[in-house]
This record gives sequence, structure tokens and C-alpha cells, in this order.
Amino acid sequence: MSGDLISHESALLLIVVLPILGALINGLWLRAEDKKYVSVIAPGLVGLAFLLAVFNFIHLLGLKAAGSEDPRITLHLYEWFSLQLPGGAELPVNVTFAMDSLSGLMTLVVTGIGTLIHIYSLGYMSEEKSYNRFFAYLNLFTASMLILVLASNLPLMFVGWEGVGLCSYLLIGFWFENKTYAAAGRKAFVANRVGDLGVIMGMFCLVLAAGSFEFESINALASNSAGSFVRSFPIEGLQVSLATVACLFLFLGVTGKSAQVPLYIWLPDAMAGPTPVSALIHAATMVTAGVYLMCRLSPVFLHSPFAMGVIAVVGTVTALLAASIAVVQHEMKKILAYSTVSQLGFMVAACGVGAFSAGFFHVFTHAFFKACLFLGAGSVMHAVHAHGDADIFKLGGMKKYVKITHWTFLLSCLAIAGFPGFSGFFSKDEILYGAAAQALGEHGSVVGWFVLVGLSLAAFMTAFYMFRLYFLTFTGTYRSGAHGDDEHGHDSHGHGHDDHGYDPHPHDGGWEINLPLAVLGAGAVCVGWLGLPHAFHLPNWWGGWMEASIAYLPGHGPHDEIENMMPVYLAMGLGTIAALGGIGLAYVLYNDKEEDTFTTKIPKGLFNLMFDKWRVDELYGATILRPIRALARIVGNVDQTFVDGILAGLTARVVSVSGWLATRVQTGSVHAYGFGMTLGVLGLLWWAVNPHAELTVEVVGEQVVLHAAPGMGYTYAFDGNGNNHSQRQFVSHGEGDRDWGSSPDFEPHYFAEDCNRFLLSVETEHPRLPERVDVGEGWQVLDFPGLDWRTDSVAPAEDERLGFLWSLAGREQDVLIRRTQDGIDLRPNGADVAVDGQVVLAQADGDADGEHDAHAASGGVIHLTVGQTVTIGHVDFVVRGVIDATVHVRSAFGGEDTATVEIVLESAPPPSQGEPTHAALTIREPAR
Amino acid sequence: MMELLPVASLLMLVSAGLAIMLLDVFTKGRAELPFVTTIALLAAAAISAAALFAPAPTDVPAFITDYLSVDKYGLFFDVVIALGAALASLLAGGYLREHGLERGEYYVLILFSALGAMVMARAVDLLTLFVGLETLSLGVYSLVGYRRTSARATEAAVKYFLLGSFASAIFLFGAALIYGATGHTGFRSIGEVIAAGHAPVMLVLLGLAMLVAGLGFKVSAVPFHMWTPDAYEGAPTSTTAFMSVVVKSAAFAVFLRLLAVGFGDELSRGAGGWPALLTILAAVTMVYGNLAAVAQSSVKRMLAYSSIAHAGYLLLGLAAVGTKPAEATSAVLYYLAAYTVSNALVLGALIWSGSHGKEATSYADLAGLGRRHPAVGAAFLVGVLSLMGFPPTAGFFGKWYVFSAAVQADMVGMTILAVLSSAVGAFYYLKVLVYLYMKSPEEGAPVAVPMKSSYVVFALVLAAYFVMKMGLTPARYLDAALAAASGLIG
Repeated sequence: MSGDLISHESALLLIVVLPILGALINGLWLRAEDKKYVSVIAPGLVGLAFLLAVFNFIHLLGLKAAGSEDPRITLHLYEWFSLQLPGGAELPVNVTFAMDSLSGLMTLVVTGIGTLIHIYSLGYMSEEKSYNRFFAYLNLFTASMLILVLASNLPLMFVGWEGVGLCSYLLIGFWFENKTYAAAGRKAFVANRVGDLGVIMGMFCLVLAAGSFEFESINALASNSAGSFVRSFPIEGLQVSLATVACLFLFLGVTGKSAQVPLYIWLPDAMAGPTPVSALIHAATMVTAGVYLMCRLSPVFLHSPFAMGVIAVVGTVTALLAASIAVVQHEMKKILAYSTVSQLGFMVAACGVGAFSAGFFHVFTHAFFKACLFLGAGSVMHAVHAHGDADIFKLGGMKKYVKITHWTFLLSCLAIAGFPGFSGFFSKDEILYGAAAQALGEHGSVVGWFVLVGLSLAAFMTAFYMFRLYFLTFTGTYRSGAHGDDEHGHDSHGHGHDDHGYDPHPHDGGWEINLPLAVLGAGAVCVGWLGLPHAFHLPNWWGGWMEASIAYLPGHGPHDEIENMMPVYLAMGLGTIAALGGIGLAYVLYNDKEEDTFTTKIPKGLFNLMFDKWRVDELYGATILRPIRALARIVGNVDQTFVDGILAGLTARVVSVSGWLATRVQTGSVHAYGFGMTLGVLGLLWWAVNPHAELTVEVVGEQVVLHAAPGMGYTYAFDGNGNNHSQRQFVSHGEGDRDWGSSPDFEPHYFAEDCNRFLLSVETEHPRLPERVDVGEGWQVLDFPGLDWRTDSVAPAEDERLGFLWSLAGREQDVLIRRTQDGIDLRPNGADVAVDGQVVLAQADGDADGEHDAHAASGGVIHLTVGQTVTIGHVDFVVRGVIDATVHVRSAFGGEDTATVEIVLESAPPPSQGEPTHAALTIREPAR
Repeated sequence: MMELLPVASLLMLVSAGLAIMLLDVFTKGRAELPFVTTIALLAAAAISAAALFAPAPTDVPAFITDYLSVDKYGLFFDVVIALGAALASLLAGGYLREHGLERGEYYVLILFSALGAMVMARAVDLLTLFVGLETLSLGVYSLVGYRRTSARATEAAVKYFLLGSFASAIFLFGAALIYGATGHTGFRSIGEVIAAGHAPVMLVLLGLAMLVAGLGFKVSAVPFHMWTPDAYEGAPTSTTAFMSVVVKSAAFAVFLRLLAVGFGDELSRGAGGWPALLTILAAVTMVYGNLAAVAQSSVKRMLAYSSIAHAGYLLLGLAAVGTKPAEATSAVLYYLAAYTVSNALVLGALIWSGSHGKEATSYADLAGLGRRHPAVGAAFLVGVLSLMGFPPTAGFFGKWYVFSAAVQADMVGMTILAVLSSAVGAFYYLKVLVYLYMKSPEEGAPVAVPMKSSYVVFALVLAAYFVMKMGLTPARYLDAALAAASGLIG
């Protein structure tokens, strides 16, 4: 398309960048006083993003019409970073955006409804002090949501996922001066964090299975070869497939973001935020992110029937629970909030029964009517100057005051109730059909029946409480009207104190409020027509469009002929009955009524329970929060006294004092400075004059090679065995017959006489035994500090059997050792000793030293040479020879320096007549 | 004329400096000098950046290559120095005007000093090095003492000048010893003579020690650092920005080149070579710089000590050049580029925070500023986090590359020391943020009001862009640094 102004890829980038730009301008540049500019930039940029989204979507439609199976626009920006997998493979994490049939539609919803809500907010927030902050957050939210939706891989999606969570937190607590509102923000954040952990874990499970972060490759692998997903989880003893673990983790994330049992509790509290926020974030877009994620990865979810079952049941339970709470609530936004939770339950349950497309269809329709309902509620609150929320029993008769709001609200109520012909009817019908198909399928399942019945019941309650809300708010007479004013002597601009009722003279909002309502109301009626039931061979555009990006259960694709019409009729019948029944009941009970004649008939206990939201919050408080709080208090105290007080406090003190000391030399006097420099120069010169010896050892095959660190003008004298017997002959680099290559080196030949010392190397592994025992000239007790076998043997603990065994060997005697010319002498003193595996009894006359005759009587001496293994009790020792190799270095200025390195020989070197051996074992740091 | 093309960036600065002198005279001080200066510097940066990615020029006449290199290493520093100087002149455009100090010579001095810095970075001969060093130093002495009426500035300039002359003398003495030992002043020839073993060892070692002392002064290595806090604090803040980025880059550029080319082979390895010497300097410098910075109450002075600490990290990178030339050289280059933009950002934010009669210099001046003026706060935030080495900013990758080069060069213990001392650094950097966001001004204390200057804003946007860009796509910049390093070590 050469005629286009910009390429579709650039458009895709701009869709994401424009709202970010808006957030930056509004948040960092403009101030609260710059309302004029904020009002243009914030909705303008999002609106522009919407136009670009439409532009791209038309392109996608064109591609589809041209026969493309999977129309998509991809923009690879750059490789963000890459992970090194075990085994050496690289796993790149790309910043890539992709717009396909699924994300394309979601982008339209986010930008389209986003624009309308931005416009609405112009009117709604017009008296707000932090006007720019609000729009900066709203822009930032839109940007994050677009990143979430358009990301082509999991990590980038997670950036958006966290971003929307952050914005949600910021916007719920927008009026953070109010403590309850701020607390609501925190609650949302914490609930979401729990879920986010699940997303991360799920992400890594998917990498484990598919070796990629990209949705496209994960899904392709899941659709084509199930192998890597159904293999069992790589933890021994766990008979669970990788797909199940991944899906359950991801679903934990979904319960957080999409407010499902058990993490749904934050959403109703989230209504503390400004109403447009409730409409955009907590109804139309962010909360559906979880459903979006499940649809995005639908091929993976299809691999785990167990996880799907869990999802279906959780969704249904959520739908029922939330609907039952909504039935008895008093406040507009609270009812709408629980209705949102309930509707999200519908969507999740749809995914659980495999009807992903239906679930996402409900996301789509719900976005319109729920946004419209929230904005309608906001319009009513705006009209009566209610702050925070509005009690429906203090309203009534609003249809006289806010006409457009009334009509759009009515249409949206019909839509959400599932009145035939309206959008909600079609999407809900698809979901119920999915459940019915599973219930009546070949392997008729209990879960299917549970979902079908549960959702029908929830649909009935939905219709009922929505029309209860409608009738109480819009019909009858205004209960905070002029008569209330007379009674309380209020002035006409009393800003909605709840105990006194609201502004007695409601006024209609401006065009900013009515325009979005009208558009959304129209959408609430019409968008359902995109997915007419294809069982009756009606045109179902939705199914065909979603085919490329959402997986279907076999036999339930958009083109499959439905053979068994029973589930179709059942679903449609139940849906229609539920809708009409609920609306009818609400009409009878609440039309033009002032009092709540229904809820009084519910038994008091049950009513309280429902009104208190089944006391789930209290349950969490008692079971989870209280223990955690107690733990936190303990940790906090430890942290304050120990970590802060002693560790951090002391460190900080030491640092400050040494910092203060460091500045003491900074006297400001040039003399002092010059003196400092002179000292520095002298130091450098001193360093240059003096030689610096360093010796390292390398083993090349059988040959030991000593390397001295080179230095300019140095001469070296090597002393291979450190006995100082060699001539101190200093040779310079490259001098004489030796070619030293890059560094001066020396290849000594070792004979048995060269060993300077001997040691016992401990071969038995035990945490309390050292690696080696250095043996001195005189007799010493073979003793291990910290391991006293005499006392350890009294009560041998399970892991200290060593001491026990020692005591058996030692019979409470000391084993003595000493170093000799060619090995080690050992006096067992009655202990059981084996040399090279053979039990040896010490010879009584083995002791050459006369002064130890007394000891000789109680046990003779065993002489050990290099390489022999000796076993005392259950501990093995090997005798090793040690050589201290030395190099002397002399600098050009005449100074000298010496470095020594210790070489431990593994095997016995031969006597001086034989062939020399060089096998070295370990090398220690030079002892200077 | 074509043979001069490889040094076009230098000629650009010379001619711009001369032109500005005339321009200032003929417009009677009404010309937008900061703008013109910045354009000239950015043009020089652009010329060198273009050459950096072009094939190396051939047939460069010997009268250039004998004194000035035309390799990619020099080009890389052309870009860093010109960018740093451009940021400094933009900041000066806001700072000097706001505080009523604007006079034309400031920009001329910046241009000529930047020229000296570029000559230093390209020098392949001890004489060229010295000429560049003095061109740079004389300009900077005047820039420090630019506020003539301020006793503090004059004192700082005199101190800097006296100690600087001392350091130059030591350097020159070292150069003389090396010349006496080898009979050459060109780095490469010096290296060849020493490698062949024809140079008297004692002269070479003493000369090397003195050269290290002289250049150690310029990079403010402890104990040659003492001028730094006084000069940084007394100078106009735009000069502080210039010194901390341009002088430091040029000094490190020539330091690395001199050691790697002139004193390679035996002297670059082992316990007796310069890497071991620099390791000791690095340890002392980073520990001292970080500890002393903690005790400061003035942000400007804290930044002076922090620049000493950063010199310590850079010296560690320099020490690693002996064993791991490619990794360490590119790491040092990346670090200098990152430090240039980060430090310019923080000093720019400090300049922005003050207005006429109320210059912000201490922590207390910044109290609550981040909440009152989010944009100023954001500039500080990004810059300070980068200096601290917090991902994903340029500073993080700078530290990362330098420390990993040190680890590869088997300096594990030193790297641990560096990481620990940069943890101390977090203390005083975060203190800036604490004051910006969590404190409120004391009762009756003057409240900082940010100045309005599009020069400053542009400089900050430019610096912040690079800080974030180098943090988000570090590989691209590291590749450039690697290419530049390969120009030096072959």
C-alpha cells in the first residue's frame, strides 16, 4: 500500500509510543494549572492511537480477505537481552510487538474505549486538583495495557502486566489523602502480586516445555506436537504434566488480575478510585487481561484437562458468589463491581470449558456495556454530587434529570442481563452453549453440568440485580429531592453528605459525559451481532476471525457443523429464561418502589452474610493476615534492633567516621596538598625501585614448572626444593642457555630427598575433618580442633558417628605422630591401625628414640612413607611429601625479594639414583 | 588539503574558537554563543562519529601520524570529548546567563580546552601529549577562576594552577628520563626500544613512575587528588561539568594509550609491571573517594569525591589492560562514555535547580525539590541511579564491563573491594534522592527555584537520552568501544 502515509509497522510502534508520550508530557512536563494543554494532549494522543489501531485493523481485515490464514503485523524492535540456558543455548528476549486477530481486536477495545473514557474524564474530573497527574496515570495505563496486549512474548507481556497493575494501584489510591482509598490501592497491589508470582512461574514452565518465550512458537509447538507439554513435570515423584503445572500457575495469575476466587477481594474495594478508572481499568480492560492471557495461550491450556476443570469450576463459583453478593448491595458502584467479578467468572468459566472464543467474545461485549454502566453511574453521581459512591435508596427518578444516561443505562442493563437481541445475550449464549456441549457431550461430564447450571443461575441473578439497580435509581421519585432540603435546611450545593442525602437539584453532565455514553450504549446493543449463533447458520464473523489465534476443542471450530442441536436449544432456552425471569422479578419488586421489599424477606442471618460479602475478607484476615502480621512484627523487631541497630547502624557509623577522617587531610592548604603529592611520587618511585617476587606452579604432564612473575630488569635465582643448598645464581630473562619464553620459569627434578616436610592428607569426607594435617618435628597428638572423639563418643549423635567409631579405634588413647627425614612416624598407642588396608600391629621396638622407651612399651611406632594409606578407626589418611619451591628476585637497583610456593607431591619420588618423578597434587599460595 | 581530513574534528574546533572570538566582538556580545559553540562541538562529534564507522583512512601523511593518531581509538574519544564539551557549553548557556556571568571568552576557552583534550587523546608522542595537556590545562585553569570577583573561585584556580604546574613538572621530568633512556619520544618507538632490551632499566622504571604520577594528577588518583574537591566546588558549576567529563576522559585516554603502547610486554605483566602499580592506586583511590564523599554536605563537593571514586574504578579497568587488553580497554572506553553523560546529567540537574541569587549546591537546598518540580527530580533520579550503577542505566553496564574485565584478569579480590566500595557509594547517591523526595525545606530556609533555560533542558534531555539508551541497548555502544579498542591494541 504505497499510498499510505506511514507503514503499518510504524503505526504499530506509534500505537504504543503515543500514550507513553502522553504520560511523560502530562506527568513530567505539564503542571496541574495547565489544564488546557492536558485536556488536549491526553485524549488526543490516545485518540490518535485509536485511529492508528483502526488503520492497522483494516489492514488485517484486508489480509484476511486476501486469504491469509493468520493475518498479523509484526514489528521487531530489538533484542532486549538474552538468557543463557543450561546446555549453552541462547534464549533471546525480544522487544517485539505483534498485532494479530486477537491482539488487534483487544487493541481496538483498549484504545477505543480508552479514548471515550479519556473524553468522559475531561468533564468528570474537571474540578480535580491533580488534573495532570490523573491523566498521566490514565495515559500510562493505556500504554501498559497496549504493551500487554501487543507483546509477542511472555516477558514483554509481563512488563505490561506489571505496568497495568502499577497504574491500577496508583489510580485506586488516586485520592490517597483518604486512608481507606489508599488501603484499597494496597490491597489490589498485594492481591495482584500473589498472582504475578504465578505468571512468572508459569512463564518458566512454558520455557521449559517449549524453549521459547514467543507466543507464536509456544502455541505452534502446543498445536503440532503435544509431547513436550504432556511430559511429566521434571521433579521426581510428581505425576503431573508440565502443561498442568504451567496452566495452574498461569491461572493463579489470572485469578489475581481477573479477580477470581480466591483473589477477587481487591476488585470491589478498587471502586475507591475515580469512576472513569473503574470503567476503564476495573471493568473494560485490565481485569480482562487474565482472560486474554488464557486465550492467547489456549493451545497450551487444551493440553491439560485437569487445569481446565479447575478453571471452569473456579469461574463458575466466582460468578455465583459475586452475583449473590450483588443482589443485596446498596451502592451503585459496589453493585457494578460485584457484577464485574461475576461476569469475569463467566469469561473464565468459558475458557474452562474450552470455549475460549466465547469467553473472549464476552470480554468484548462486556467492555461496552460495563464501561457504559460505570460511566452512567458516574454521570448520576456527578449529577447529584455524590463522592466515592452513591446509595441507590437515596436516589430514584433519575430518568427525569439525566436523560441520555437513563437510556444508555437501560440499554446496557438489557445487554448485561442477556435480553435476546442485545450484545450480552449472544456472548452469554455462546458460553452457555460451551458448557452445555460439554455437559451433554460424549463423555458427559459433571463439570459441564455444574458450569451450565451455575452460570444459568448466575445469569438469572445478574438480570435481577441489574434491574433492581435500574429501577431503584431511575424510576420512582428522587428521594434526596427538594423536600429533604427543607427538612435539613441544606443549601442547594451541599456536596453529597451520605447521611443527609445528595444534592436535591441534580444536573445533567456536559457533552464530554454524554457523548461517550451514547457511543458505548450503541455498542452495548450492536456489538453482539458480530457473533450470531452459527448453529442456525447465521453469519458468525467472530468465530471465523478468531480462528487463527484461538484454539478450539475438536469438533467445535467455527466451521464445524453442529450435529447435536440439543445443547444449542438448552443453552439458549436457559439463557432466555434467566434473563426474562430476572428482569420480570425485578420489575415486580422494584419498579417505582421506594422501599426494598425483597431483601427484608431474606432471613436475617443469610442477608447479613450476603451483605457482608460472605465475610470472605474477615476469613482471610483471621487465617492469613493475622499470622502474617504477627510474624511481620517479630521480623520487624529483629530488623530494627539487630539489622538496623547493630549491623547497619554500626556499618554506617564506621563509614561516616572513616569518611570524616578521610576529609581531615583536605585542609585547604596548598602546602599540605603539595606535600601529599610529594609523598605520592616518592611512594611510586619506591615501588619502582623495589622488586616484587611472585611464584606460580604449573604441572605440564609429569613435569613441574615454576613461573616467576617477570619484571623489567629483574634477575632470578630459582631454588627448586627450598633447601638453600643451590647456588644463589641470579640469571636474567633470556640469559644463558635457557629460553624462558614469555616469563622466567624453571623445571625442577625432584627426588625423595627433596621433600622438605610431610603431611597427612585426610581422605575421609566429614564436615568436621580438615583436609590435611601438618606434621611437626616432635611428637604431637593427632587431634582435630572441634572434634573430640573422647567426648563425642559418650553420646554419639546420628551425624557424628565418626567420634563413636574413633573411640572404638582409639580405646581412649592418644594417637601420636611426628615427622622424620623420609616420612612420618605414627604411634597408635593401642588404636586399631591399618596400613594400605592391612592391619598392622606396631612393633614394640620400632621406636628409635631412646627417650620414648616408656611409650614404646605401651605401643610401638609405625613408620610411614610417602604414598602410603593409613586407616585409623574409620578415617583414611595418605602420607604426602611437601616441597617449598622458592625464587629470589633481584631488581636492577639491587633490591631483593623472595617468593615461596608449596608443592604437595602425590606419589613418592624415587631415591636420588633413580629416574625423577614430578607428579604434583596441590599448590598453595606462596608464603612470602 | 585532503590529507588534513583525518584531523578535521580538531580543525573544526580551532576555526570555531577563532570565529567565536570575532563573532563576540562584532556582535558586541549579543550573539547566541552557547548555541554556536554547541553546534560546532556537535559537528565535530558528528564528523568523528562518521569516521568511526567508516573504513580507516589510508595514506595519511607522516607529519600527522608521527604526532597524532588517526585510529578509531582517537575518534571514539573525539566523540566523547566533543559530546561532553557540548553538554558543558549548553549548561554554561543556562548557568552563566542566569547568574549574570555570561562573557564570550568562556565559550572560546571551552573550545580550545576541548581541542587540547582531543589532542591528548590522539597523542602518540610525549611532546604532543604535553602540548595537548597544557592546552587543556591552561584553558581549564581560567575556566575555574572565571568568576573573578569570587574569592573562593580565585583561590580554587590558583591552587589548581600551582599543583597542576607541579604535576606537569613531574610529568615532564618523567618524559625526559624516558627520552634519555630510549632516545625517542614516540610511544611506539619507546616500546620497541624497551622490548629490545636496549634501554637502561633504571631510567625506564623511574621515568614510568613519574609519568604515572603526572597523569595520576589529571585523573585525580589518590594521593594526587587533593585539588579536586576545592577546584570542583569553587568553579562555576558548568566548569565543574566540563572538568569532570572532558578532562577525565582525555587524561584516561592518553594514560591508557601511553601504557599500552609505550610500556607493553614485560612491563605490562607480573608483579613488577604497571598493572600492579595501578591496582594499588585504584584500591586507595576508590576507597578514599567513596569514604570521603560520605562526609560531605555539599552536593557539588560530594560529586567531586565521587569523581575520585569513579577514577578508582577506571584505574582498576586500566590495570586489567595488561592481561586482558581487548576486554579491559573497551570496558574503560564504555565507562568513560557512560560517566560523561551521567555526570553531566547530575551536574546539569544541579544547575537547573538554582536560579539567580539562589544557587543550589548543598543537600539541604534540594529538600523537597523532586516533589515540587517533578522534571528536575526525574533528571536527578536518572543521573544519580546511573552514577550509582543501577540497571538499566549506562552506569550499570559501565561498572559491569569494567568489573568483569577485572575478574577476567584474575583480580577477584580487587573486584570485590570495588563492589564493596561502590556499595558505600550508594549511601551518598541515595541521599540526594532522599532529600529530593522525602525531605521538606527547613522553616525559613531559602527554597530552591529552578531556572528557566532551554539550553539546560536540552542538555539534560540529550544526556538523559544517552544514559537510558546506553543502559537499554548497551551492546551497540560496547561494539563501538570494542572497535575503538581494536584500533589501539591491533
